[in-house]
Amino acid sequence: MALSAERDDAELVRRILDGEGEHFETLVARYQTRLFRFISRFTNDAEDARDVTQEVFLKIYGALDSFDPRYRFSTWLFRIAGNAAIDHLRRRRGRTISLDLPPDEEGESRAIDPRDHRPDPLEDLSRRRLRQTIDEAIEKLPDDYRELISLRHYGELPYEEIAELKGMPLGTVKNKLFRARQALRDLLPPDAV
Amino acid sequence: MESPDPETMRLVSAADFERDRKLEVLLDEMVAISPLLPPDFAARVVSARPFAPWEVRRAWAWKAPLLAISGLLAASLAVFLAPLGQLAPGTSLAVWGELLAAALASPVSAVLEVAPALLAAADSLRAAVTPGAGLALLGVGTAFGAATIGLLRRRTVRATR
Repeated sequence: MALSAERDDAELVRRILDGEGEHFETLVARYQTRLFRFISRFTNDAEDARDVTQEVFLKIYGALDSFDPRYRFSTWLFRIAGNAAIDHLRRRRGRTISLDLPPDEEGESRAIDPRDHRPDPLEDLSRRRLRQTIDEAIEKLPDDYRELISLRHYGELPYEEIAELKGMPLGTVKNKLFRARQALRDLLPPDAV
Repeated sequence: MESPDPETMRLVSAADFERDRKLEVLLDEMVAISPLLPPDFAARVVSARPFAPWEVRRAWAWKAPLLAISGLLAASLAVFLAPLGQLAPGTSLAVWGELLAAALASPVSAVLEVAPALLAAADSLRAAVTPGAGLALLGVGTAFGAATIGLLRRRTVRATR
């Protein structure tokens, strides 16, 4: 992430703390998609991920005065999100997990609609299936691999920021991510990649 | 500690790198088709945010309630001083005294007036209902009171934003 964006985040936080609360919406809009995708890797359910994402932003708002502007806002945000996602996983333990395809983002079933006007519904379906396969494979990864893949590919954090967040040397992060993807590849069908 | 990145790079084959690169591209493609948040998500989060502890500690957060209280006090003072422009000081004092007495005494006398009727009604109600129903009634009353207080608090919090 560019340095200016980091400064911008810190500036937004400062202004919110000075009473310009409307800037919080800008911060949320800036990170919501990446955070939601990152959290989705843990919850594996769009509805739950939405709730946890909102919960994280509300937690962030409540603790905004404890943010240290010497560090990146995104690192702080993803650290809190990681903890919240793990808490959610703990709470979910024991709950029944359906083996059916989960509903899409609107809560609709994923049956093929014959009136679908998208260019190639069959291709779309096969991509959705592939995504499902990858999601399931990611879920089978060890926790540390899953977290790294989620941070890098779903949270879209640069390697440097992951290193900062996890307190690891940059080389270790790259190395572990390489191994995590290798482990993921081993879990996927040979024709997937 | 694991070996640093360049060392790993030397140990793996070019084919592994190629497969890794392909998987990276695939993961990015999959992310692009993953579910999205509703368009009004940010607005929803903003409207759902609580009154944060750091807001309580900041003076600007109290600007709205302070302005409202100051306005009320100023209006009361204006009403209090208004008779001075029309009446002599002695008459004003007498009017203030009467107003004050009425303001304080009227509610008390009203309560005293209806108290016997209220007590009688409560007594007959108590005799009519079973102990369980009485408890339930008490519970409903408490819940209603708590809800009212909660609603008023929430409104106060919103007003201070």
